[in-house]
Amino acid sequence: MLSEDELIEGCRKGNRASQKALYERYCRKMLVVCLRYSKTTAEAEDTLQEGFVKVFNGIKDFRQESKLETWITRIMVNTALNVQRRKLYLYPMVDVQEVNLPDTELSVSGIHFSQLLEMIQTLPHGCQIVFNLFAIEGFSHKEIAEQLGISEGTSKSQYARAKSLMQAKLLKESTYYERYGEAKI
Amino acid sequence: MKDMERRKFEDSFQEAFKDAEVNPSENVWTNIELDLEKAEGGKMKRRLLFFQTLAAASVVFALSVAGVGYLMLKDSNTTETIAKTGTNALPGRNLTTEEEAPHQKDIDGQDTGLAKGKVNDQLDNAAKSPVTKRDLNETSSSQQQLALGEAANSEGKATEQSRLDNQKDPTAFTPAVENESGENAVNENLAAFDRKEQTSSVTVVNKDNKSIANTLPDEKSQTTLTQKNNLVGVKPERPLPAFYEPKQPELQLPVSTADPGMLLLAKLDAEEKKYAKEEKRQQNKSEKLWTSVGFAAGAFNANNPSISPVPSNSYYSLNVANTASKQSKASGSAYSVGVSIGTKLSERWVLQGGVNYLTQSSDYTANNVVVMGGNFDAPKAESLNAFNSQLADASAQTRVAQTYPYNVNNSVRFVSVPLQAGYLILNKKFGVQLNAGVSTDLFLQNTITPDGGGLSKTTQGRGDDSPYRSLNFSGLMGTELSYKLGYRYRVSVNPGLRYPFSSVYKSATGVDATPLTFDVGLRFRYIFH
Repeated sequence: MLSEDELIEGCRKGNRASQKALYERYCRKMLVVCLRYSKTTAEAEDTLQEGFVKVFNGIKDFRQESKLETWITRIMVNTALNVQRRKLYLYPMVDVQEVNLPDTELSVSGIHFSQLLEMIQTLPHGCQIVFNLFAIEGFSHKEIAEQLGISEGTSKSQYARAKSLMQAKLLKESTYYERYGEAKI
Repeated sequence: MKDMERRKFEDSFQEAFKDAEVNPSENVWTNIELDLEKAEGGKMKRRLLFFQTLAAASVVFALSVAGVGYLMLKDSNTTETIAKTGTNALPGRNLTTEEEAPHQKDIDGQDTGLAKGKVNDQLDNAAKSPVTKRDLNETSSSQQQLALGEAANSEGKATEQSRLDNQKDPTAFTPAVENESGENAVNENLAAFDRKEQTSSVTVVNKDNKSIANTLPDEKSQTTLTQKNNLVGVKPERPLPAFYEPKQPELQLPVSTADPGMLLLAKLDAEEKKYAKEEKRQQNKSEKLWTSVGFAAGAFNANNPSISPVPSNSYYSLNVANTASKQSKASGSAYSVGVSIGTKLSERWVLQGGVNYLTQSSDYTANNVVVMGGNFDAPKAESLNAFNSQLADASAQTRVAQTYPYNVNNSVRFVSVPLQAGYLILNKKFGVQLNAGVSTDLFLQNTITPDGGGLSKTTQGRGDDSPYRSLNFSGLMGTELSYKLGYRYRVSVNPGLRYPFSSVYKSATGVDATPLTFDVGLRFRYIFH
């Protein structure tokens, strides 16, 4: 198995075998990243393809100041955001009504990620992006606002809406499990 | 507390997705490969253009070098004639050029001016020979035929094309308005599809259009149907091409996006490029070290030497300056043979070195003899060699006596050790290389051969008695056009220039001469594998 440095060096030289090895190593994780920002698997795979082409074209400029995985994830997120920006142009993100979050905070530990993925994919476009950027990538609302060209308030309200929707879905799931006697969340 | 709990919510999400993995379909990598191939194809095109430009530049460079060399030689011949005429006007002697001619003829046994004229005439005649003209005519006529043939072909193609166009279905040529309406229809249809996608009834609409009216009586679907009916209504009587035919949108599973034919072609293309690259790499690897043997022939010109009076000896200074002028201004031919060794430093850069044996031969007209030590029985031909020993010993009794003009040949021999860096513009079967470097020239000897009957031939080696510097350095510049023969050999033609950095004569002679040599070499290279 090739080391990370060998993979990077091979990809810099345009070696197709190294490129494939790098793809094989990270494609599964990166597809999850793309799926979080997409509505369908096909859309996510398109983003994955576009992202990896950017990775191979831009690896010459990778200075190895961060981990390779982190760098590739950043490219995937940026590519996904570019795709989503086109949609945001059609459906601009606006402030949504303040929602009262439920007092009880639900945990997602124990739920398989595929179920969470489904829940995220059903969120409205704006909410989905902001939720991903804030809750999973760990960006601040200020950074999100700068990246998406929206106000910080919009980012916050979108996140609050997303979180409330997610919690409602989680609650529904837990009720379902309670009713049918399966494992409780 | 509440904030902490809320943060837990986000952290739990991060944790849930930390090691999450989903397998993508096989098509993704194939499509990535396809994209990369396309990008590399573009790069190759740009690289090809670059090499074409470089090749053109090198040809221009080679032609310029040849042109400059030719012009300089031509100039030097003119200078030589003027110099010969000028040096004959000595005190106590009023012979004109016409008067000299018979004497020269007596001594040499031939009229050099006439002979040169004949040779030039022959060369001119050869250049203007009818064979060449006929060849040119034939070439031009065949080119005309080719041009006519091409024109005929193109006409034929054009006619055939127009015939085919006429035969085509007239509906294929759709007016712009129809196209526009067709596109609008498609766009509207797509827009309608987008709107429908948001409702759950889309599948029903897609599957069975006819039953829509019955199954979906609501207002929205009525609108869609009305739009559709309108589209049908504006449809022209002639059938639209298949592309413009509004199709019922179908729910397609986005599994396969790439064209299998394209994928196969891309794979084949990738394989071909891989092998080509491998072959190129092998070829480049194979020519790492080589040795070559070669010879070169050319000419050198005096390149306007400057002569200053020798300060030490007033008695002979005039004669020395006169002789120095004749000898140093003489241009002539240059020959060299040698061996060299070369190695490749990188993909494009090479380093070459070797040893060459150089001969530079020139003729000048003398009209004095030098008598040394009062020995009138063995006079020496007028040359810097004769005066140089006198310069070293001012007490020696040396006399200069005038005589009829006679021809003196001066043959100078060197051993040259060149070291050149080369840049490979083209490195395939046919190679183009630009070379530049320096050469260390070790003077061996010069031989003065007078044509007069009573004068003996003298050879002077390196050392204090020689007017030539023992060691000198020259700059080299040239082009190498080569062709690979088989696995181990390469033959090349090397036009090049040699220019000494300092005078070839010692400073004590008062002559500052840096003759420029232009030669064309032929080399046979043996490649080590």
